Amino acid sequence: MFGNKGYGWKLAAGFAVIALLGVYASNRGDGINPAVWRCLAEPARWNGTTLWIPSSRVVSTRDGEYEIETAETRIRVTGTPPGAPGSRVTVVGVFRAEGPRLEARRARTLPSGRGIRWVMEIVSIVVVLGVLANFARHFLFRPQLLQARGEER
Amino acid sequence: MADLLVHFGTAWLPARGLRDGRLRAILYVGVCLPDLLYKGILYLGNSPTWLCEPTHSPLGLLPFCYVGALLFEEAWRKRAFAALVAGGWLHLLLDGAKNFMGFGGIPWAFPFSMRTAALGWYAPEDSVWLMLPTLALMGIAEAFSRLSGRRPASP
Repeated sequence: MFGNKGYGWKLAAGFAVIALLGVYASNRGDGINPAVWRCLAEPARWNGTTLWIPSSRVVSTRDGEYEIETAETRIRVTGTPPGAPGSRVTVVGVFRAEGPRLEARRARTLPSGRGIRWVMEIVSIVVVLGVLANFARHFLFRPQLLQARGEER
Repeated sequence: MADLLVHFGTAWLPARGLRDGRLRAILYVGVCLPDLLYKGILYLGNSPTWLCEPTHSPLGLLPFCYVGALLFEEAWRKRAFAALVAGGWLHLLLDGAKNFMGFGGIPWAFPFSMRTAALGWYAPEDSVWLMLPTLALMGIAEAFSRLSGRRPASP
């Protein structure tokens, strides 16, 4: 399985399985947690579907309902607003074709500061660079180093 | 992706038991692999999110690790595969502890089922607060090994 015999075929088979799994997941997952714009484009099709909106912004609030914006799409949500207009929220709700609207099941506010998020992203990039540098230190083929070691003998 | 320091810490601590620095290096790559693959396919391939989902499932990760292992020289392939899988699964275990509000998470049984599950211990945006404890744990482990006279493991 890991030998050199039929290496090209093994590599091709590995890539083929990766591609097939991706296409399979894409097809099977198509109806799970669709984007809000898809629900608004075809309300009847997605009526009753549960949606999870990981990040959105509260645009306006009224009694028992509020409007959120996510990925440049706005939708009305029924339920107690989790935050004031302008705050970032995450919402789980059931899409209803009449309206159309979202019936909130769970909602909570997200940290407003983008600074923390940026710090996390930068730290993560530094970690990846460090991991790759460490990997290269152990595995990169360095003919000059081999030559230098050979000269030491 | 945003909490790779915490992921790295979960691999760094057990990896101190490994003698071979090369094996540790592969394990570290393995623990970052699910996020690197996910973001790579998502942004470089401009793909739908579900197409990237196999990178965050235990079985879906295997072909990626297999192809990765094939890129090593023959004598190293089995060990490389094991280290990549171990690192990748460690990543999934930590991601599985997150709170996706009862929706989303890790598709543990993919490709046999699309159902996702997560323990819901902490919100994804709260992982920034795990960075400092992770660094502290790594520092304590390093200090302990130095004080106990054991030769510290190279990265």
